Amino acid sequence: MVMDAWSDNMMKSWSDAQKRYWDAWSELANMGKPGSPVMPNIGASAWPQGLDQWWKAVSQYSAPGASTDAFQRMVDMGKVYMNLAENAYNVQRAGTSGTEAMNAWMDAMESGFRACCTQLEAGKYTAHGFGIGQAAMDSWQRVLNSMGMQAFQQMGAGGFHMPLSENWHEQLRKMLDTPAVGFNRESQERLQDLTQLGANYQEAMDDYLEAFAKQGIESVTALRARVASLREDGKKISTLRELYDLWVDVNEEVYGKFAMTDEYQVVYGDLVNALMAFKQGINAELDSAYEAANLPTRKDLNAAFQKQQEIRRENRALRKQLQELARKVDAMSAGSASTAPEQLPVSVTDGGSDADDNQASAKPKAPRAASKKPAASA
Amino acid sequence: MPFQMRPDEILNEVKTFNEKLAQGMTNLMEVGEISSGVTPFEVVYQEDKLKLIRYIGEKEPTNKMPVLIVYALVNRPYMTDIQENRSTIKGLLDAGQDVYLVDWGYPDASDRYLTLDDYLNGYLDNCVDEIRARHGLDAINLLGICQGGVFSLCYTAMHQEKIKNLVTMVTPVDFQTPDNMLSHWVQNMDIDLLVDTLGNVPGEMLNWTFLNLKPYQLMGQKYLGMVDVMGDSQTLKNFMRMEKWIFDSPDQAGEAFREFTKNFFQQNKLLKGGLQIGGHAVDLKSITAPIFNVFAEQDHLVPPDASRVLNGATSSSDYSELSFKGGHIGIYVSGKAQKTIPPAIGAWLTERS
Repeated sequence: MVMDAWSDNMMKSWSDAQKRYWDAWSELANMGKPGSPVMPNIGASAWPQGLDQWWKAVSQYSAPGASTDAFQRMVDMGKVYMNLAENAYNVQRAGTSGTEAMNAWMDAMESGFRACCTQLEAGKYTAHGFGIGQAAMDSWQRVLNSMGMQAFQQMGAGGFHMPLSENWHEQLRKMLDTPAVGFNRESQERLQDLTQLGANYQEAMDDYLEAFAKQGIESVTALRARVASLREDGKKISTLRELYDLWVDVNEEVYGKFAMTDEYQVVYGDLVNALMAFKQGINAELDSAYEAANLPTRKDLNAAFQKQQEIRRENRALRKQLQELARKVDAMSAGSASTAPEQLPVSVTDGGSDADDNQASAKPKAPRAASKKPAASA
Repeated sequence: MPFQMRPDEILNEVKTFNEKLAQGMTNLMEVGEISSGVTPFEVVYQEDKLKLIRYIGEKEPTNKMPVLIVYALVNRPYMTDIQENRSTIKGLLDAGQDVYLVDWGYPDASDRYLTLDDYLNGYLDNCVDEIRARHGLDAINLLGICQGGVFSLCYTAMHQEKIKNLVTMVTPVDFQTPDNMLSHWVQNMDIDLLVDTLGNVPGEMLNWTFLNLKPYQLMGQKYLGMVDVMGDSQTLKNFMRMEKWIFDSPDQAGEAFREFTKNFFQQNKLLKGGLQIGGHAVDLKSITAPIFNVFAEQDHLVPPDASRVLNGATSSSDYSELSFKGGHIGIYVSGKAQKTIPPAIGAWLTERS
């Protein structure tokens, strides 16, 4: 997976640089321990950005593959972790008490989710701000990729939204209601229909994201309750990792309940259905273009595939009949051999397999016509 | 006060995390090729993209009645043979079984019209016949896994005379238990629209669905946890094997997906009745073979109650079950599973063959 340009030296250099960077931070932080005069301040998103920049530098030397994919996911999650670390660090360095720091952190998260809801309700798309649930949001883009819809990823990122308009639905409706006239009337109508399908998908996506953002707010509420419970039990969160694990645990619990609600069933189904309707519209448009260019369309290919499958089934049925006949012939041959010395000719062969075995056999015959026996091993 | 982290300690954790990540990258580059299964095998029959394989154990099987493993169409069957010391296949061989497995392959666009009838009464039936012919037997043992377990139940219901004993592993029978998240989600989906639009259903889409069952753990926490252990090359390699398997998701033949999702998930016909595959009525009461039902108590994909209901749903007078304290994947790969599951299945089969 690794290209020549990559070397151990490069990795070592990076590791050394990392060590120096974090040592410097640690020294600053030590200076800034409670009671010390200096507490280093961190610019917005400096830590996640640092990790991101490193990965961009490193990954260009790696070929795509399972290892790179997995590492990409580790880095993505690392960025979320860094973000959490940065937030935790900043509230702690403010010198507030543990309770105040924790409350400030949870307040900030809740505000983030509320901001998502507000934006979505106002018709302004956002695909960010989902905290540790961001990976779930981002993975939807991979689904679009797998359907060959890379070009339409922006549909889920504000494609039909009009950021300058407070009322994009109304603007879009007016555009779609404009009568199609003239030489290209049919084409215009088809495009208007397709635009409507795109807008429907955008709405379904908004509803899905809003439901997730609301669930985020519920997760913060659940986290507050969990923290209160820890406090009552006299338990402590003394590492970043414990905080992260607690946050994951709470999110998973809240999500688990949410995912079994009727609301989730509706937003999930609507999202998939709206995407499929939109893609079907795109397929139809593409087919029109192929047809105009005298190229095979999806419809043509499907017809050919369907026919091929019917032929496969016919072949399978015929093979079974041949096997049955071969078995009967074998049995007859064996019967004749016991009364007459000469052998019956083999009337049916199936690919040169053991149909030429004239021995009578009670055992079932395998479907040899389709079988090949290449040597293979793990 | 629960929240007691000092800024210098936070920085120290971040520093350690970055060091581990950098070291992990070095180890990752040295992982090398990741195998898809470890036990030697031979391909004994092929048809279209299907391969019927026979595993080669270190010693001759003591049970002369072979067992055919039917895996699901989703994901790849090497989960059952993922690494040397984590292999259900090896465990079955060690238990004296003669093990065959159906590898369905990777469907492409030309396979979109494959139906459940093609899979069960075509491919699977041919595999069963091939093994019967090779061994001169009227009936063989069948072991179905997850969706493959559903296929095994349906196949046995349609061709009882060819199946001597039936083992089902993490197999849903009731698709609408209250805790079945997948089933809950799919009820509002227009499956006809989905299949008519996509043809084959992309493996990525199924993956997205499965990962969303526990998104915070499966798409986040797991990778953060991995950073902690990736300094150990062997652990990293094992992680990468699982990672490869998880994302090695064949596309699903469209028509078969349509039938499976509508008849099983949306209408629960396997349990409720009325299921038809091809021209065959599929009635669980047609099954008379002895059944060994193995399921996992912490299964987030196939809730245990979805499997337990098999007890009493057939006409078998010899029903046993084994409940495993683990998850849907752990039942194949955990250390505890290696010691309990394959030996138990092996003993059960040998006793009845």
